[in-house]
Amino acid sequence: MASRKEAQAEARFMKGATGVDGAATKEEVDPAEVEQAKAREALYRGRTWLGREALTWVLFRSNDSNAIATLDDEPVKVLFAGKLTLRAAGGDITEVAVKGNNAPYASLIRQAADRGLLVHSARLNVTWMERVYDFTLDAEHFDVRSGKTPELLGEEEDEKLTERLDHVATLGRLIDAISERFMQLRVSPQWKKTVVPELKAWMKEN
Amino acid sequence: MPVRRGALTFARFRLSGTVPKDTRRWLTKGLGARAFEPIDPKGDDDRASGFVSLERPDVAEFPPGELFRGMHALFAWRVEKLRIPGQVIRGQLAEWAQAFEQKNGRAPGRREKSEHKDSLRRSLRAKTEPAVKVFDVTIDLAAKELQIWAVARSVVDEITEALESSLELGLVPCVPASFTDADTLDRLAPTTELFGDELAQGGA
Repeated sequence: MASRKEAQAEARFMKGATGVDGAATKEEVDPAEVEQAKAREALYRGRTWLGREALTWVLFRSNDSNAIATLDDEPVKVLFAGKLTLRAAGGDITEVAVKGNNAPYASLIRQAADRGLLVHSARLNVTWMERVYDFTLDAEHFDVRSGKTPELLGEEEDEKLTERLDHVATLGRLIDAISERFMQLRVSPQWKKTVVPELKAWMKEN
Repeated sequence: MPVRRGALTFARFRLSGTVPKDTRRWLTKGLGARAFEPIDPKGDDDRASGFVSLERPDVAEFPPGELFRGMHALFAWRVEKLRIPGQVIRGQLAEWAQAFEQKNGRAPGRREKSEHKDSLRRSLRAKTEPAVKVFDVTIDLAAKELQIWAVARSVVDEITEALESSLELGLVPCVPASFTDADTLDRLAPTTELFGDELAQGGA
């Protein structure tokens, strides 16, 4: 009579769980490998890497009070305020989320960026003329989330709606102005020659 | 995340292609072609979606007075889902099976159970109210830009697909990549100096 162990092995073979050599037919999936594959897929999906490079460049440029771009010949200034998410293409840490009003400018963020964790989503404060817009932007879709407009002046519902639509249009133009400025640099020889070395030097600052 | 109030949350797309001169006719016809039709309680579909008026989300009509506000077109995407909880069907089926056994002196067979389950589902469909979600959609006709006021990517994708087919034009996401031509874009690759060793090791 077959032992209990042999009977169990035979049952596993009959179910197709093991082959004739007794080895498992399905490979065990390593969760770490799955995580790395997901991080890589998220980087390339819809050219998210370009969005992460753009947001990281905006963070770097927002360190001083100079304009990042112009819209209708007026300067566009950006400040990072509050929550920030960094993501990497792989490695032990694939995502870092930080909170705190000055957190985006902390040295810890620059150190993380230096190790390949680039900005994936951020709360931005964009100033143009007398208008200030607060909103969250993500690197994959550049969708606007939880945006706040300047105070609406209209009293009637219809007036308020017209004002909101005007702010939506302006906000879109501001994001486009920043994206366009980034892309002008990104496709030029200046990117590798000047901008990337400047970015790396900033990341290494204490 | 409606257009009228609250925080601004929307996905942005640029209209690609020629917008017909008769914008009013083009939009009215296009939205009408994919207008919302409610779930048929006698049918098998559990989900329905389509365009409705922004002002009256239970009406799939687009009179110009409601659709246009200056150089903006405002409408909405309505999604209805009918969900009958499995627990309700199981409970009612168990009650019926008990009554059947008392009356016939035997438990119902598999086929009898399956037939009764189908009739129960049909009768519950007629009594159940579908869950409704409405997502605002705005088009800035001057800037040729579309905003979809939704967070879930599945909803955004569904709406863009419906609009591209019914309005016969392309929708380009407003991302940095849209500011350069396709050939230049194809030549670009992630900056290895920024993404670090992980990128080089992956052989991207």
